[in-house]
Amino acid sequence: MKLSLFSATALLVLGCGGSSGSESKPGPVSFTPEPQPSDDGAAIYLVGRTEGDRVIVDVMAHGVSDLHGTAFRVKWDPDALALVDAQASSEWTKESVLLSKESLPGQLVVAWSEKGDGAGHDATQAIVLGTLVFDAKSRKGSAIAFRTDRSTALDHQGKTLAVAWRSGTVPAR
Amino acid sequence: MVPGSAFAADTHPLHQLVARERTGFESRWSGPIVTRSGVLDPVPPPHPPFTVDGSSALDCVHAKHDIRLDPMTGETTATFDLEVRAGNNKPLSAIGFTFDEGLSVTAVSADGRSATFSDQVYSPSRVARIDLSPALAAGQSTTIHLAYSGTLSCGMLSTGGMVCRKGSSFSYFANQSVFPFLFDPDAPYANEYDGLTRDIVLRAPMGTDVVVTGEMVSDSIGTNGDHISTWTIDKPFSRSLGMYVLAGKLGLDMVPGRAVPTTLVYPLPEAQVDTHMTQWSPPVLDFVESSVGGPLPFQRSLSLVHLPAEVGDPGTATYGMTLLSDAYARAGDLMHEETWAHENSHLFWGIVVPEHDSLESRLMTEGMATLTELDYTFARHFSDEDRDVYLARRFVPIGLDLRTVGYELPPVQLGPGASQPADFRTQLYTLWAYYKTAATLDHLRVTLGEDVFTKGLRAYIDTCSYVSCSPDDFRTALEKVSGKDLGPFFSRWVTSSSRPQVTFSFEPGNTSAEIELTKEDDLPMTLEIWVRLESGALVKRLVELGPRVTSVHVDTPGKVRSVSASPRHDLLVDSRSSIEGDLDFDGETDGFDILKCARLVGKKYETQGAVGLWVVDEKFDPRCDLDGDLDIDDDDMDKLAQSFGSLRGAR
Repeated sequence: MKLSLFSATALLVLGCGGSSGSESKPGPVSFTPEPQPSDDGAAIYLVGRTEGDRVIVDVMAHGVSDLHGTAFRVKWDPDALALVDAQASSEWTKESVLLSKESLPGQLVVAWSEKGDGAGHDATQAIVLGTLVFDAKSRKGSAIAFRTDRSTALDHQGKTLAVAWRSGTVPAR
Repeated sequence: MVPGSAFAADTHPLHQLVARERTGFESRWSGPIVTRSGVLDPVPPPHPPFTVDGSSALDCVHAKHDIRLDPMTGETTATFDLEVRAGNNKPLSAIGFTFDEGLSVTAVSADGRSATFSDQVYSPSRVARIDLSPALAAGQSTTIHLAYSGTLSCGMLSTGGMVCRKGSSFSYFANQSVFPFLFDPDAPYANEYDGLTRDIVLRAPMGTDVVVTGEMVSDSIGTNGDHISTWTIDKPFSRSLGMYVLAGKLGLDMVPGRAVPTTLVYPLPEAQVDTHMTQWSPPVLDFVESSVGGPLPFQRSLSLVHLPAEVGDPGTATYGMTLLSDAYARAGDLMHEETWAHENSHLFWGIVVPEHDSLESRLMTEGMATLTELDYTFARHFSDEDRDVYLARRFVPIGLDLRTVGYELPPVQLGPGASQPADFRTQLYTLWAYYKTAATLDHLRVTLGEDVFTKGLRAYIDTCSYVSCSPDDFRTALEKVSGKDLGPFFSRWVTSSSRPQVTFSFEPGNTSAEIELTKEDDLPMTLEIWVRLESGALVKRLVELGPRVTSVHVDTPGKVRSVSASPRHDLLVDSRSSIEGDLDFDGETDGFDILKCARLVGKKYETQGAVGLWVVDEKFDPRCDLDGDLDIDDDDMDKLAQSFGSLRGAR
């Protein structure tokens, strides 16, 4: 592991320098979540895994008992990552409204919500709200970050839930 | 007999006219008509744009009543002295009145001239006429002396209401029962205000409780054991508004916390509703007084009456007395209390400040009373909420009622040839007289700013107390305090009906916003603009809109998130973002717009017949009903989804 990490850093340096004249193969792509604070409070956060150059990020919710819907935006560096898919999870009912759109390069707008005024989802234990899939386009790293000023979660009465928004990073290779 | 020319119909039309005060759950206070008094008014008379039935020469000045009434049997003996004047630069040759058919006139005379009496029964009333010879020349006065007696029949009106109820521990005697209801037989439907003062002596058998319209002057036991109470109406009070005697074994509780002796009058045994009304009365009266900037003028006494539903009288406000049927308790405590605020506010809006012509507009009576009731409920029960949001929410069902049921209603101030919705009991009348007026006033209040509106209201009260005024006088008062020409406002929303569309767009900055407001006409308009910052702080700004497109620069203490109109304009201004689907006016369509509506899917606005004020479906957000079918459903969500994701920089 140590070697691998070292190699990645070295490759990055080489890649950025760009003067060697020969492209070496980039190291494996990875995802680093934003550290979880010790209080372990209510949060919507990202958990990632990789498959080759593909980064698969689950949008998780934890610590809320009545999550009726969420609206958020996610930003990334479009030179580093390409959005392949954004799928809501099977937690949502068939009647729910599930919308996502990469409206600007590197900016995904999402609305996942139940319809009607029934109770929301119990996320006192962590649940997966949906999954975002990216392909790494280059050696560049990028944050995959919630725009907290454009993100919210509501309960079934329409009250805003106090949640922390924790993002993640795909480090440079 | 009564001349056929005056009373040709089998059912005298005045029965309908007077009955309007008491028939129908919705009607509540309603004042038919009347001529204003040139003698009593300290300011030049306003000039109405039209009169429905010509102007009346009858100008009542002062009345003295001395009535002995046994409420158990209805036996009555009374004298009545009425000072009248020939007003409106016309001669006056006759006076008409109507009272219970069981009463008969025993003597009639007039100072300085002969008086000829004739009458006819239109059951359950007796309609009478006194012809004066010679007629009073314009400006001349005389006093008419009348004696009458008999046993009240207290029969049912053809409309189903009753004029009086005898033989009960809560006996009830309203207009045209024991008190003569006065009118001009030559212009029975003249709608101008005519105020008069009155002194009343009411004698009742020993042990009888008595409450009469007016302020109590004295209460004593006569030499024959009669209970004698004297009452006064010492300020001009419309001759067509309610005169009541309530008598029997009454519940009489002092209302605490009021400087003026204030009594809750109710039918025994005491019920929970009486406890409620006693509790509600001090905050209601305090609120009414604070809203008009001064105390009620009734300094000797104030009577607050719980009417039992059986008498069929929904309630009213009259001089020194407010009455409300316990039928309103069915709407729940909150709405019952709110209605109590409405009715008590009429002590100002209708009694102290009468309207010139109830057929021309109810803006300054029912409109003000409805606005006061909403303000009261906010202040009393919801003051921890944002006031603008609360008021906007209360007007949502009203707006929907107007949109669905009342879309063809006439304007709140009628012009020549226009008529109000036909019947006091109809939903359309309620919408026109109560809801549309209150919505217009609140919109005006936001347009001018609360302080200016309040100052204008107080100037209107100063000018119009005890004289009749019209919406034109209110406009004059507001223009004086604001320095603004309110012609465009009144022509858009008072003398005509409209809901103009205004489109909002803006470019946000870190400390400012460049705003563009677009409407489809050239008529000026003022809107309160809400600039919401990313921090959540709100900057409010009154903006004058010129022809078509108006550009505004607003400096702000932080980054701008959204720009919209105050939601209190919503009922009368169709404000919308220039971006389709941008329901929160941030210039983008994102998940916030979706979440605003997703929770409401399945909500329908099912009108309860124009009673939105009562059946408050505040959760129905018309902005989420994109296709306007009064049903927030998948069609609306599909429409929202089509414009989803429209961001700045992507367009």
